[in-house]
Amino acid sequence: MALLEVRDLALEYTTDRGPLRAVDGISFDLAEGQALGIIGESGSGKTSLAIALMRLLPRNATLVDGSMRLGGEDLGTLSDEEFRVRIRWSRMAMVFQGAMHSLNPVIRVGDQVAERLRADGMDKADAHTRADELLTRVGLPAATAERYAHELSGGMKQRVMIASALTNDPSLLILDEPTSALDVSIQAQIMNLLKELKAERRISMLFVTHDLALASDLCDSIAVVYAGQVREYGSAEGVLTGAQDPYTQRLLASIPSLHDEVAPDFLPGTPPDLRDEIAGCRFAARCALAFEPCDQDAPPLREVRPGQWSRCWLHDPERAPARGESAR
Amino acid sequence: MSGWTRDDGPILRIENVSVDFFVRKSFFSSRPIHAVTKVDLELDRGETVALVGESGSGKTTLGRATLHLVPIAGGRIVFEGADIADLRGKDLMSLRRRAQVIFQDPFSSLSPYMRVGELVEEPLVIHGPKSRSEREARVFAALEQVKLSPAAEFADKYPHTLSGGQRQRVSIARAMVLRPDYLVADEPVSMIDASSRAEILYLLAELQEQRGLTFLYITHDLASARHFADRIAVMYAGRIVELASAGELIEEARHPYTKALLAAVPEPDPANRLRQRSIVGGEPPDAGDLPRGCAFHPRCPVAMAGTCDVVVPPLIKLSDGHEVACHLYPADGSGEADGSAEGDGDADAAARAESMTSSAASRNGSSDSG
Repeated sequence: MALLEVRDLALEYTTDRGPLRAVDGISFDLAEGQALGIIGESGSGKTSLAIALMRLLPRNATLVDGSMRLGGEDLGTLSDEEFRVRIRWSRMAMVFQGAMHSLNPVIRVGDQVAERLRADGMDKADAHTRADELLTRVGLPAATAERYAHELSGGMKQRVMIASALTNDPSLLILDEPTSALDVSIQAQIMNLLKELKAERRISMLFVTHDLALASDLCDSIAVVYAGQVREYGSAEGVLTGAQDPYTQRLLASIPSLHDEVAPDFLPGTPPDLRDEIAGCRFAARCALAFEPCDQDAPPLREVRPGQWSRCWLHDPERAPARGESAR
Repeated sequence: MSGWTRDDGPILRIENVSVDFFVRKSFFSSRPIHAVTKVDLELDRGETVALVGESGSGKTTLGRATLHLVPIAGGRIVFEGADIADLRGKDLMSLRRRAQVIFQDPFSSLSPYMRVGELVEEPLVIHGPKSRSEREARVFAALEQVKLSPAAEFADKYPHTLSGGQRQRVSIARAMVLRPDYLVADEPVSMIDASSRAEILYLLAELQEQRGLTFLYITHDLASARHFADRIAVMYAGRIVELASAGELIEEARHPYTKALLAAVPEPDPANRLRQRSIVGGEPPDAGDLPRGCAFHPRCPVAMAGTCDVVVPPLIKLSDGHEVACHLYPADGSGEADGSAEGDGDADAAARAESMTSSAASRNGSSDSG
């Protein structure tokens, strides 16, 4: 059984121009000790999905459909109070994008990491011992606990955020672009740390990013989201080496290759405004392979290879034009 | 457009340039931070040079120094044969028009209260034609040039209604409307979605070709530098540590720091998750408290005690167009000795340098189990 099962999740923001369905029927499973990459451009709904799981949605957002089960338990049945006490920061924790801004500037780092344990009733000495252990575990020097946030570099602050997410031994860790503000060499250090934690503690991870290359550093499976829907879902091997969806293929082609003269491609245009009515495929307007039904009918997510799903009419033998090599 | 051609020599010469900042230590004293130290670099007309480095490497400061935006502590910057520190009046005005900059963050570098048309017109109010209609024509032409089309429609919009990529085009139009000869682009795509980055870089390359623009591309992304720059200069702690043509720098990197940066670049390979990335531990040094000798030596997997921690390695020529500052590659001349003799880069050390990437992982501080 999967640790996390998300089914048909949908959420809407209330805006001046009517409802905006930022997440529109997303489903996935995440097994214990595995990492799933949620990949998408800005506005794809990937961060909304993450904060919906943590029940940290802003007031103008509502869950309109779907279910989430953690370890078999239906999270939808829990009251906000129960969720706060038993789930959030205990069984699931999150590391946010701007770790730099998430730390309190006037409280010592060690106190901040110990805070959650103190709130759970642990006595002060034990909480600090545990905080020190965690700070050491994420690769920080022992004296870090006595420091303030402004004395630390960006990479060190992100390590502190990871340490505080780990205080209650969560079984699920949600990471929202945890390295996007960091230098490449520090980014690589943090990715190595996450890899170690995943192996050592069997933590399941949901890694939210716009960078497929970075996702390959951690993720066992990958869900590519576009305009609030999953476009492609499968194993890291399947998606990265045999992408079936035209959108995923374009994303991969836009990564500049370090050791290859092949010039990077790009995706012109922007994702659609989700407040507008979109009849057909949401990617059709930017898709170089779009054909007749793409503008009119929305394609379903279908299993195109064992364990790999894609939302594209090209995979429907009845709708697709004669499929030669040219279609790819 | 200037009459400067490649026959006249480099359009921009950075000669032995240092930039210091002063930070307050106490009420009465301050200490210097050496942001850039003794950098030499020449840019030919129409060339793109990428300055690659991490935060604090001095790449942005050096870029700003070439624009006469920060005072330099030593050396000189020569643009089209003239030391920019000597420019006054009309000549300085002309440099201000002809040397332009694009900043990293298109979300904060554009005033939210101005329409796109006003934003692009603003530089022209100072440097451009007096006539309003002429200015408008220039604005529309610049917007078309950066493919914000139809221009009249985009000119009426406010920045918050645009995507990151579109905003960055507005920044580019703001620079291009003055028809510059030299452009500094400081991390122009790092805040833009990965899928749109190449589009902006192609646009810059296209404008460069049309106008013979000289382009200093400041980035931390070696992969994009490979595709969009002619040459790459790698900076660490205020100095250039390696300089070569783009392909050569990546395929035949010599400096241990360049190799470490290359090893840290993520590529989409599903096997990545199954292995630890080979990395150097630690973080770049504080520019106010640089290590003695080579600034990289505390993180360097092949540092030689007694040499690297004592003598600053000079930037030496390995082959035509490939320069490196590392004691593994001995200079014939003398280093910038802090004390003892110059480095003796023996074959052994060079061999260790080749295998550094594998040994680096085990030295990483974060891999110690708690």
